[in-house]
Amino acid sequence: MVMLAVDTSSPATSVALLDGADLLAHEVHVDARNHAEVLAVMVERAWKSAGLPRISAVACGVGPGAYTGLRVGVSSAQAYGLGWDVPVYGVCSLDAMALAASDASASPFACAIDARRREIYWAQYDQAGSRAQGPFVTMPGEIDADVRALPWFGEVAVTYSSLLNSEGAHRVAYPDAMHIGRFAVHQLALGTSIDETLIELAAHGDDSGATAAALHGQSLLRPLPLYVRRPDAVESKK
Amino acid sequence: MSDPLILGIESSCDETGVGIVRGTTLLADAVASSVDEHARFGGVVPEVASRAHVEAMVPTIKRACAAAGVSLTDLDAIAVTAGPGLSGALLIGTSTAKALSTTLDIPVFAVNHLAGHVVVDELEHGPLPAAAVGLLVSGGHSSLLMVGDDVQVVTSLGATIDDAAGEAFDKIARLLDLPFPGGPWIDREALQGDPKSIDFPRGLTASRDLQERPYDFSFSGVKTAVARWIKQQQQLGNDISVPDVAASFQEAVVDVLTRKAITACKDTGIDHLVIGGGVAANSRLRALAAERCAAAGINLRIPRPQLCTDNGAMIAALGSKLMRQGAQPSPLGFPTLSVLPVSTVLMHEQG
Ligand SMILES: [Zn+2]
Repeated sequence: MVMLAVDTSSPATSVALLDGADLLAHEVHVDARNHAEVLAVMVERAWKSAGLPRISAVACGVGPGAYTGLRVGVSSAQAYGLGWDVPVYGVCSLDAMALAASDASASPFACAIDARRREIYWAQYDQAGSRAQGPFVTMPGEIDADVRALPWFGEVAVTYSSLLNSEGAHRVAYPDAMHIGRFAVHQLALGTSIDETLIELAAHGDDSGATAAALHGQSLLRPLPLYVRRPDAVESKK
Repeated sequence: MSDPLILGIESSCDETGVGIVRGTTLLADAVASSVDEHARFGGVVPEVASRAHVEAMVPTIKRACAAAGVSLTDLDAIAVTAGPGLSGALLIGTSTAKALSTTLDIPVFAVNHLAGHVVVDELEHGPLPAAAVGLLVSGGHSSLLMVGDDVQVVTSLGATIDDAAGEAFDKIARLLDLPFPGGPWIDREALQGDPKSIDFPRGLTASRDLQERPYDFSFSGVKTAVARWIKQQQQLGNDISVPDVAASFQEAVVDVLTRKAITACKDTGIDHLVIGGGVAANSRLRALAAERCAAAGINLRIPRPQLCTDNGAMIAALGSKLMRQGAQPSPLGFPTLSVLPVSTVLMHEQG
């Protein structure tokens, strides 16, 4: 069974084709402003280079991350699933980073993606790479000191190196479709299914911790963006 | 051989639209609107619109296919709005179109929303003549353009230099305590009012403006004038007749729109005028345009209101026409452009 995986939740756009544990094609392009121009081209190139195999599932990173880029990946994944008539699975992009980071860390750790406005999206993981808490959106300085002392992964942790233990952060700079795919393949093999109750939350979650609470123990998600924040808009006074 | 089957996707503002067209025959026109979610903000909030598009896109495509009685694998091409519009919202439509293009192995035409507003009338009144003037009026745009026989040849004649006409309707509605979107409410109130009761200014109609910018519009002046007039009356302790204000404001806007559109037809020697955009649903605009076109010997074409507002059928209609005229599809790496010029009907470039 061949899976197409994509992620656009960070400045990186990444695409991977996996046949079980085998990686058939993989490409990463780092440029925060043109996910939409490169993603479809990368997918077509990856699919062709693998010999146009029959695709049986699509996985996408659902963030959290910068909304505009995130929606490019999620909308695309939904449409690949629609066009090929195959299921589409959402994976928390931080969980995919954690899968990569668990090889690089001998202790519990944390992963982060830039949330702009001096905040980060982050989650904490146990030594095996399972999410212990999060995802949250927070200013790094507001995070408990003992959590800040854990090893952090993600390029944005380097930006806050005075607050976070970011020595090895660059080793897993961004979420990568390869790990999105591996995560999904692994969960599907375990028999994990999507929790439908998360639909509303995925779209309208806020930063009060509701997202983190509802996502606790959830691995495969609906292919909708994990916003974590509400839209910035001022209701008219009338 | 039958004409190609085209699916059109529109996501430039707050409507998620998916239309299916064969030739100039409309098979499906599915629209999911997030307008109710914007009402409490008093205007379209881009982030709210984008969130709604992501959720609505696939269900709307499925709804359109079901209504047309076709399956995705029957499609011959996809057309999608590449601009102008809200950049984050546009990306949801274009991302979807690109993925469908790959999975279904069919070409994608990345097209200009404004040209779609004119060409959609082919679904209602049949093929367009060799040349037509288009008057496009909505919450997002107010422009006059010229569409040639080759649909890729579209020339801008003029546009608003400040607010869009529909935006002015929304703002005046808010001043009058009418709900969002304001257009239908102003229209309804105006039916009971006297359009000559208050003389509001007609933007860019001074003789010098008519010479220098004959086809441009300005609606910020009339908006300010209405606000000032209401404030004055309140200070004087006078009751304000909402129908009279609505009718007089509407008359000022519609008078300029139709006058300039007729002038454009006369100056270019084109005897067909197509009106599109959400404001084309306004009853006074339709009546005055009909009256003035008849007097000037111009054929007026206005699609039914459902096809005037943003929808996927207009994009499918444009894609269909481009394909019939042998246009080359867009490369998969095409960009979206929130300020795509009217003259770019089809995107040829990689991003
Ligand atoms: Zn429009």
